[in-house]
Amino acid sequence: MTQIPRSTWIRALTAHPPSIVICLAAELSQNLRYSHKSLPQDGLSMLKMQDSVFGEAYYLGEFPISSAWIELHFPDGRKMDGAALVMSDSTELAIALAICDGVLAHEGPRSGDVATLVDEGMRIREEEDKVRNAMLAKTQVNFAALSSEEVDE
Amino acid sequence: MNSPEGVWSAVAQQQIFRATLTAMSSPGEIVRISADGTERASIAVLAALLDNSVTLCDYNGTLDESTRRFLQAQPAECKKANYVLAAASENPAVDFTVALGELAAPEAGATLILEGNRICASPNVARSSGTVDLCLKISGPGVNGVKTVELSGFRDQWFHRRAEWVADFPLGVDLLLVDAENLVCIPRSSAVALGESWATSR
Amino acid sequence: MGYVAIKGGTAAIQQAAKLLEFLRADGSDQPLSAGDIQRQLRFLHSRVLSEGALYHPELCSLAIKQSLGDTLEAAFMLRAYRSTRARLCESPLHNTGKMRLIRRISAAFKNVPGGQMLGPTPDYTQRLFRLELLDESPESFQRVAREWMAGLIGVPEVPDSFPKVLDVLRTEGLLPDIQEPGVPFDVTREPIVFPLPRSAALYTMSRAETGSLLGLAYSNMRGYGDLHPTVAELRVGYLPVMLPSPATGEMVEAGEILMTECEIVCMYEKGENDTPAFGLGYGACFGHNETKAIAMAVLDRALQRGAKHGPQNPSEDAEFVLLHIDGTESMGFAAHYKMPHYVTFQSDLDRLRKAQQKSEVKA
Repeated sequence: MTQIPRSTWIRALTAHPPSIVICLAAELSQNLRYSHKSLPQDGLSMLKMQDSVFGEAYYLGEFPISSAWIELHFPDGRKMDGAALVMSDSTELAIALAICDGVLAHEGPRSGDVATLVDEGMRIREEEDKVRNAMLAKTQVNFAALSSEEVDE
Repeated sequence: MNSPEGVWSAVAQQQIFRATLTAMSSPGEIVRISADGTERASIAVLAALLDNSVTLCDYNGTLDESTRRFLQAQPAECKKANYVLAAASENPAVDFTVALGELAAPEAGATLILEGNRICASPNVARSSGTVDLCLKISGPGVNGVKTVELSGFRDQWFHRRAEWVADFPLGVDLLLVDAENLVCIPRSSAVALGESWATSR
Repeated sequence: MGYVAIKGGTAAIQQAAKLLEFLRADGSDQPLSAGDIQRQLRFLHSRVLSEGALYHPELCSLAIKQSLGDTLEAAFMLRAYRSTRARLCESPLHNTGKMRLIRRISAAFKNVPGGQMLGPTPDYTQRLFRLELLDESPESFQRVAREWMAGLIGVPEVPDSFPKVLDVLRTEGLLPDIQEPGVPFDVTREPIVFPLPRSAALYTMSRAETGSLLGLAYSNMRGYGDLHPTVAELRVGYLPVMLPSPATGEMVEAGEILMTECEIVCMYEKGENDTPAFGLGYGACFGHNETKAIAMAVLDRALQRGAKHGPQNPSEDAEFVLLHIDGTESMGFAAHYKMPHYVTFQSDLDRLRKAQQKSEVKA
């Protein structure tokens, strides 16, 4: 299993090239069937933002989105849901992520393999976060080096 | 990776849409709709036409939850819905109303899908089925002369109500009549006369 | 007569497209990759991302590549692609407090909560050419990233998000109150009829062509306006996009968006309860586009003034600003003048000749 919370699995899995996730999902589907609970689709979503000076809602623009919601039929007879919403054009990727989501969330067959991929993906994201951290830390202004200035409250 | 099948596949929906467009352009022409026989023509047509930006009233509750989810349309009450699905085998209730649009937005008039038993152009087929028949004589834009459609399982009150709804053209309702496999469209611009059917005239 | 000339152009048109392709490819061994464009032409890529109004980094790179770097054409391509896609949903309300920052500065205060982090910026560089880049070898190029990454060892951890600078002023009652979010206006779905709500102005400006936006904002800064802004905070970073899972209803991170946000503070004026408060302006857009965000914030404030007191100058006039800043619209209109207008012009000639004849007769 994984310590990574379910809300972050998409972030972790999309750290890998899509082909890796799609390939794993294809392998997982050999041991289970699934049916669609809603129409898998790809299209756009509109990003709704709140401006930070007056708090008013406005739209910033559109981004690609793919969605899939499936019911997995495990060999032990259980029927469990998996779903994915991902910033991508590819419905194939969304379905693959939904399979991984359902298998991992409900400890389906080979959920360990999904957990491993999630953990590896999270490590990639942590490396990205380190780079971003360094961008901030290395360019942080040290005003202490300046001679006597009044401190702004 | 299994993709949605039957009427939910993109290819099927394209074909159903083209067929519906043909039917709407040539009122009274009967078009075969059912993609692979697994879904009724009403669901096939709804699958092609609906998405999450429109509203649907399933008046008689004939759609199951899974179908409703796949259609993605928001539920709405009958008098406001963009699309209404109703069983033609019962007369409309006295208070049954649909959106007719407004003069500034006549396109806001509803599309009413009426589901009955049988639609055919040939009177012989309908007569042999032994059920109560209705005969529609359709004329107007898109029709060369008069086209005759024989219906069974469609109550006549629907067409009397239709006459009221389209009286203030361009306001009105567009009708899609379906049986298990076929579709015939009667846009609000068509003139419809109820004629004697072959069965009842015998 | 005029139409025959147009019909005869098919071969020429096809050759013109091939010629563009030839110019793109001639003289180079290697094509540009989408990744090269996104990384090495970062600010160009960000500009097109925001003007195309579609956050699709890969297609944005392709648009730049295919258009040979014409930003207006590239943005047009993104808009055209966008028009073929279905709108599946709207996101829940997001705010920039959750941005994973790479840059955060304030011109209003020296010491801000969390500190000032310059991030990647040319602000303090001297605009001198580094001529060695003309002769950059693959080896020296690869060394650049390697050396910077090697320098990550021992770098202290800093938080990746910080409280807003303006929140400090807000707690002192120096700013107008936060309002209810309301329902935003979608300029891609509803016809534009003035007066427009502020949300329509913000979205229109977020998609606007940077030069047009900057020109109008600059007019206000230079004197066709009265704002005197100070940048309270400028942020660049990655906003996690959270969407509800269809299975559980819980928020899941579907991806992240690079964006820029700028908040400005302007001269104070009387608020609704007659207490003076600072005027505020806001600008935000896809990509790393600081000049655009600042220009947007200035114009936001200018338009607020115009709405309240009546426009005193062009940058305060909502119709003047919002109808003339969209790159696809303005470029399309300018470009259409190149299309054959033979019949139109023939009739102009005829009328001019008749008018001359008439004035000769009179004389």
